[in-house]
Amino acid sequence: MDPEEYRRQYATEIAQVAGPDQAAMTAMEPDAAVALIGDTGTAVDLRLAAIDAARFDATSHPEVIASLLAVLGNRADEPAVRRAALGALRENTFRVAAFRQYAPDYLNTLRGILDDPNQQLRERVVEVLALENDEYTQRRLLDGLENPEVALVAPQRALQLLGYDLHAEHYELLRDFAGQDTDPAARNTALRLLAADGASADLFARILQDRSQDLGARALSGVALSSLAPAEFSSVAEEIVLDDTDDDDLRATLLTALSHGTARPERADLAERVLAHASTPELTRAAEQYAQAAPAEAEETTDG
Amino acid sequence: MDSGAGARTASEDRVADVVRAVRADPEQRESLIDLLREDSPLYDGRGAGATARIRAWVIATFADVGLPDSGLPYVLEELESGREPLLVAAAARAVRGRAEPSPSLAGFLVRALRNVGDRDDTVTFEALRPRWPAQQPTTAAREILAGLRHVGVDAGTRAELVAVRSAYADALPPDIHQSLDELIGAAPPGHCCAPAAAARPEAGHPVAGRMSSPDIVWEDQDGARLGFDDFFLGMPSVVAFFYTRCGNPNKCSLTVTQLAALQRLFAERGLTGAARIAAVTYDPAYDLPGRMRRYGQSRGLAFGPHVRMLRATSGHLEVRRLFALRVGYTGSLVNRHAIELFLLDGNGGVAHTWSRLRWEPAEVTARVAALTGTCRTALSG
Repeated sequence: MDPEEYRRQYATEIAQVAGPDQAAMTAMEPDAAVALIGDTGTAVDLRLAAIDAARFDATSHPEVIASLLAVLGNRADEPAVRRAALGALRENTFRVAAFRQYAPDYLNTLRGILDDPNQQLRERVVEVLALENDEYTQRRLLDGLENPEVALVAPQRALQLLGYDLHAEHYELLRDFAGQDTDPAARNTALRLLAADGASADLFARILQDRSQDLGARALSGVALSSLAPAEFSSVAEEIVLDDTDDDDLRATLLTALSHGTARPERADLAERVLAHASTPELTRAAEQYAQAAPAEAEETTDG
Repeated sequence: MDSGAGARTASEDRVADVVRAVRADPEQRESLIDLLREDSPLYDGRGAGATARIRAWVIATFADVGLPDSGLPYVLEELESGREPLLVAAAARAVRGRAEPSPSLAGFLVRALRNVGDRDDTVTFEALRPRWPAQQPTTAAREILAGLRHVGVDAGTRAELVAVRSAYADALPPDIHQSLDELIGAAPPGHCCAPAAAARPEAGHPVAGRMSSPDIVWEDQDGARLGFDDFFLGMPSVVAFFYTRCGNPNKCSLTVTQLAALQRLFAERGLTGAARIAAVTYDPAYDLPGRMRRYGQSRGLAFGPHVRMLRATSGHLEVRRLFALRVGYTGSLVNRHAIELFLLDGNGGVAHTWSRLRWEPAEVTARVAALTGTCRTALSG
């Protein structure tokens, strides 16, 4: 009998005897596990069990890592087995020193999956690579935001993933998303990410002042502005807080931000004026909190 | 969606055009050098990843069109100090563009293997904006070994390769171990020889004339303010550039550590008080006094009136212009920089520059001694 065929037969017999007995599967020899993992003719649950058995000490067995990478990269293979292979590989990346020799092939395989037809697997891989700050993945995410036809994931998700390693070069695109109103989820994600961008202070001020804007976007803009430009925020927020025709929840949010901010409005009777006409418990509470709060100390800032 | 992305793609298209023209007529290879300047508008506003991708593609082109002397500093810089597998792979590949391969390059290639041996990645040079899966994948280690086969391995380099194989026994994949074994086996044996002296070409730096500017105001690591001339006139100065957010331990961290070694050498050679040492940040908005102080102290700098870390609280653009700094930015963040050290005489004139490749404290000390008139003591001490 051909040795390869013999090994495969032996592995299958072991797996069939072991069945769901995890202890027996864990004791499986790496060769036997490799034969099962890569055998697309074997039942999926047996292959999954073999992956589970092999994953624990995979970095000590290059043939196991190779079989997991082969399965992961094979578009014709069962999605469940491929996902399990990805999980096993990810687990082994935590053995940082031992996994180093496999990292180039691992990253190469992952990048090849960015265009995989299996959406679930693709989305997992996009996240793994985004966490690695992978330039190719970042480029593909940006391409997708500019041209939805080539998008790997939905805009909001793409923005979140870019947020793992945000560069100033992304800010312009984020401002574009922050300025649109066709995809509120993506817009709010963009606003959150822009909260660290000093050049976006004017944008936040405009959105905060514009009553035609979505309330969530206005609230996010207020919080971001309070951090980026405390003095400008204080001025804009005071105006809105005193306007009892504006949204009460937004007024309460801004009043709370003023309570904890470094720049308070000069008007001494702000809390009293709000309390005189407060129509919701949240606004009343925020005004009382503002009246009791002491001005926060200014943080160390740069003048360079 | 209207954004800067279109402009960035267009500028990449222009890079592709230049490279295509050079490939068609390799005599134009010098035009690639312009694409490697860190302060080129090409890199304005790009992230570090995109910057590395473009540079790597340009550098790798030297393998096919020939690597001229003017390109050698850029290649050796990556081999000596680079930590990004893509750029190191590109530099190792470019070595194969040398018409007359020199064994002296082997030392740089071995150092590159040490730099990326435990952080390698699969890379490709198929296109400026490659798609994956790559048709021709490679890794930094594979390119380095190909470079070593090209330049040849002498007995000294062989000994270093044996040490690398041992140090990275677990980090390098089996095929790299096998290639290393083949190189080691084919090299002349020997234990006594140092590797062939590494060629260290001067990168050249377009700085000349007297440094002075009323527009630049410094703040030091303790928050003290002073003008440009206050610190840089009256006696020789050694000026290095750094920033505390630099992620490459072979660059800014090593530079400041070497400044501390330089300070100790000054003391040994009687130069303390006769020359100043300054580390100036590329990132003045972030590198506040406390950050600079902790960064310098933890690397051995002993601050005093003649040894300071400085940030420009005004006139940072003027600093960049005056020193013609090899640094690029995306917003206020550095996306790429070279190693840069300047020796100024007591009038603010540039006496010497070291750029891209590492500098040796002993050589700097000797040049300072020559400027201060204590040449004999320093050189014989």
